[in-house]
Amino acid sequence: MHLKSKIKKIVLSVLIVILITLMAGGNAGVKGIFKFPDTVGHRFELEIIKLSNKGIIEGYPDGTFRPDAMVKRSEIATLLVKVKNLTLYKPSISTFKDVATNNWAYGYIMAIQKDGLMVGYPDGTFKPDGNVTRAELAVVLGRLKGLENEASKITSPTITAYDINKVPSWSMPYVDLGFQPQYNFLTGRAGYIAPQENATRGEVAYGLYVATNPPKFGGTLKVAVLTNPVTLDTQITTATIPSTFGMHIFETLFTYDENGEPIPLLVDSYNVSNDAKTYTFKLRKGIKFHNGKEMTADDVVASISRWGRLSTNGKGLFSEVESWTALDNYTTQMILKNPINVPAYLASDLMVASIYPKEVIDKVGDTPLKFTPEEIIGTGPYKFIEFVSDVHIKLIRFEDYSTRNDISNGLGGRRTVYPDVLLIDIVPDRTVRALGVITNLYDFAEDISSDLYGKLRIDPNIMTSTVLKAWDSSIFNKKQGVFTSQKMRQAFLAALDMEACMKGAFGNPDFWDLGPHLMGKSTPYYTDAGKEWYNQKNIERAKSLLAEAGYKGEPIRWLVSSDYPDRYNIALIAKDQLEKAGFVIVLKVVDWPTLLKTRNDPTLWDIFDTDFRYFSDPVFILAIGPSYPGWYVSPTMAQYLSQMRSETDIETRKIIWEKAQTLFWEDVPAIKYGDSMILYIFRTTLEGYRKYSISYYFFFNMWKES
Amino acid sequence: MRQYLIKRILALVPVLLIVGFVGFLLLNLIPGDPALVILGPEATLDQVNKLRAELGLNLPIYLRLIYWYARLFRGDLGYSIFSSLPVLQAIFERLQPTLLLTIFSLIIASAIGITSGIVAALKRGTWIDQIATSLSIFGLSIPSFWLSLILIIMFGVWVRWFPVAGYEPLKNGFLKTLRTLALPSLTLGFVNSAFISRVTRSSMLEVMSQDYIKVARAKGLSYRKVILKHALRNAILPIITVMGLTLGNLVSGAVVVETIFALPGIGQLALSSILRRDYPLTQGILLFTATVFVLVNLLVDILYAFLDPRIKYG
Repeated sequence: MHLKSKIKKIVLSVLIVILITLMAGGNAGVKGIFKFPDTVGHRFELEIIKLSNKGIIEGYPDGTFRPDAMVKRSEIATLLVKVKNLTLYKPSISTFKDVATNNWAYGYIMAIQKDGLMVGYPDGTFKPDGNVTRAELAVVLGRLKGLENEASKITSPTITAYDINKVPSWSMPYVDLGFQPQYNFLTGRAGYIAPQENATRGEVAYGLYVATNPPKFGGTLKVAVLTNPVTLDTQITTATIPSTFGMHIFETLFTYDENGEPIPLLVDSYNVSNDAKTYTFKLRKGIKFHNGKEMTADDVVASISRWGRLSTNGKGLFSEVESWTALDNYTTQMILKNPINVPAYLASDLMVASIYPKEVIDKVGDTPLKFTPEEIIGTGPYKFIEFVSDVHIKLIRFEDYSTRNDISNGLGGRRTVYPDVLLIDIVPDRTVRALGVITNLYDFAEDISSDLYGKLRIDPNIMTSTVLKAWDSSIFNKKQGVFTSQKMRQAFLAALDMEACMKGAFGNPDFWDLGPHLMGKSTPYYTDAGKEWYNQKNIERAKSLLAEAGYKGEPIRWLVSSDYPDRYNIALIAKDQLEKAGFVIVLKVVDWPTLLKTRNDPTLWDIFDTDFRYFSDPVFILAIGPSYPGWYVSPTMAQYLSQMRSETDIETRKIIWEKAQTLFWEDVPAIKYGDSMILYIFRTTLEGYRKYSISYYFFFNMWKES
Repeated sequence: MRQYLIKRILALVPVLLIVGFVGFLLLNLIPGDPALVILGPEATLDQVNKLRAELGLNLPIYLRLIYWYARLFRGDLGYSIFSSLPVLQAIFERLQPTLLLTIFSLIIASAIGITSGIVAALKRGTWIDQIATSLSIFGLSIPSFWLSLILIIMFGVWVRWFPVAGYEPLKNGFLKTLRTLALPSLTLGFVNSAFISRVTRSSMLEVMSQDYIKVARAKGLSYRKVILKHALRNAILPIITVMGLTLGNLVSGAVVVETIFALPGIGQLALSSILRRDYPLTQGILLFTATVFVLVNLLVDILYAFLDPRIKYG
């Protein structure tokens, strides 16, 4: 009896160990998808990988792909042969003067010539070693798709671009077709068609892929997000989910192009008076709201006025506005007391200056919009249907959407909605969001744990995208308490080892970054000014600065939220470093709503932690303004900001910003620890994804493969 | 009996009044402001105060309490700050997943719990008993989120039998609903079976040591009849109590499981309403939960009377 039960115990233990081990094992050995290290994060990464998986395009022997390298005409000949599965054709006499019968590409070139895809130049040459231009690419792809008939019907372009007049007439019809939504095999370069420029390997891969796998209309796109939106009134909220999806429903007068600069969206054209104090905006005509009504100047005036009352940067702009009126049904005019760069404000992704119908504004006044289709009415390509708390937000394609005709350029230009329905599911658990994409329950999920990054990268059905999200920060109370002293703040900064803080909080180095920049690398304002103050790791210097400041060991009350574990961990690591320099720190750990309430009272705290999303324009940075908790009053900084507000020339603004950022690191109104990234994942069946200059994702110009 | 029932139901009133008062007090003592949460961290104090005024939050606290009680006596629980829906409606809309999850979980918990409890009692001291005991301790100790994730990975990812998250309402088809509730019910069922199993075991052991059991066996009744008809019936009372407690726990919302599986139930609603400082909705949920507990208690007591003829109310 004894031995029997002992054996049974052993057998049971072994079974349990096996079960646990099975659970721990993943699916290692799955074929990797990220073959080319130099395409990670590239705009055409997905198409390159897919085309490569089909055996059509290859990398170089050293494992790279070189997506921005040029493509020779002989090379594209081989690609076309593979795509169309043509047999090589090697007649005894060459059609082309400069392609000998023993040329390595002879069979390919002759095959595509026979098929009519490329016919060479009028002088009888083929120029096999010349680079394919973008105009030539358009023609080749158009022919590949058999669009000769369609092309012959096009006499003048339906699209427009900055250089539309530079498109050679022989390629014009195919260029036009290439940018139309049902074909979509051409992409622009920041609003330019650049027909005479050489096509890149990435552009060729994209074109070949989409030409042979055209976009499909229809279906439901399912997206998994972290939390409920607290409101969809984009004029008043700064939260990410409402702003992201709000920008699908509502539109603004200006938006951001590929380079992160403001370009007209609802505005057709505008002019600025010589003294830069009068802006006259001509609105586009025939733009429909989701309720069928046409958008007119009255709607625009009412919307921007409301935004000017309720949003932080709206108030900033309107403090300089003398009048804002409608001149006629499609023209509005803003007269300023001092010159201000108005488009930068109107394009803002922080408290978005969305256009609502005037009737809605008259009805709700300054109360936030409710979650009903009677109040959530915009001009955007998606229409709001419903929000069911903890379940989903449902949007559908707006059939009467008035798209712009200029080629897609960042958030500007043509916006095409391919799916019928966009279903945004609320899935609070991070792991479950990822598992949902793995099991094809969702097409796209935001905010996935970096711990899963390695496993997701090798899943052949999943694409990952690491996007710059925010910079983690501690703000000093400069109104009351020990940090009214600049020396104290400098001492704090001197003691910090930023790398240790970021590494300890975020782990995987793909998900965080260091650097003194307060504007992202994708914006024109990126600079490393102030780098000598950033990441000093100098405890000795901190000690001496503390002594100079006359610090007597007063406890420093540090407000941090337990709802955000990353920031909390940064505080823990920093606290340790600071205590070595002699700071006495008391951490006050509270939940986020409590922190928001407490920080408004300068008697209750000395430092609080938050993170700041990367925005599109330095004038929106909150930490350097006087009214944001922390209360930074600096005449010099105020002067820089005011100069930036009125200046429209990019180069001048960059110079002013460099000085401002340097001042930030000398004066230290707040600490920046480092950048944190956010991980999005999506199925490889989702086409058209790209990163924008602002850290959001947008579901126009994206479609699902069937 | 009827008088007894009426008295018990009337006892709900003071319970609800007290729960309402304590809830109100707690909510208003903790820092945090729904207006700030709506407007976001970059709102100015002016905007916040304006919204607070509109939401009626600037009235003195005793006035707000009085208004709330007044509305309560009229049966009006007020409106949710966030969804603008009447509180009762907001709660009822979330009942379906919670109720179904509760029923399925209770069935699974009872099935596993009572069976393993009986088996453990009968085979007391043997390795079967030890396994049953170990499983019970395991069930009591493991966090429900861990078990949820394990089940999701095993049955949602390795084999694609069930969706990893989401809820299909009944109107989309009962089978679909069942599929989305299978893994959550298994999780809650297993976790809650532990307590039921332990109580069943000890209750059965106590009953089986009674003389009348020996008499029944001596009389020649089959083993099965003795256990199920005589022993279990007498052991059932404490088991029913525990099942009642489990039911109460499940209805008040299994927040963790609902969050992981993205089920729009009462649990998630309670959590979000607290985090957003949605005072009317939170108070409504508190009252609802208190009512459920009181009624479940009453149900258990009535069941006692049915099962044990020695118990009489009146």
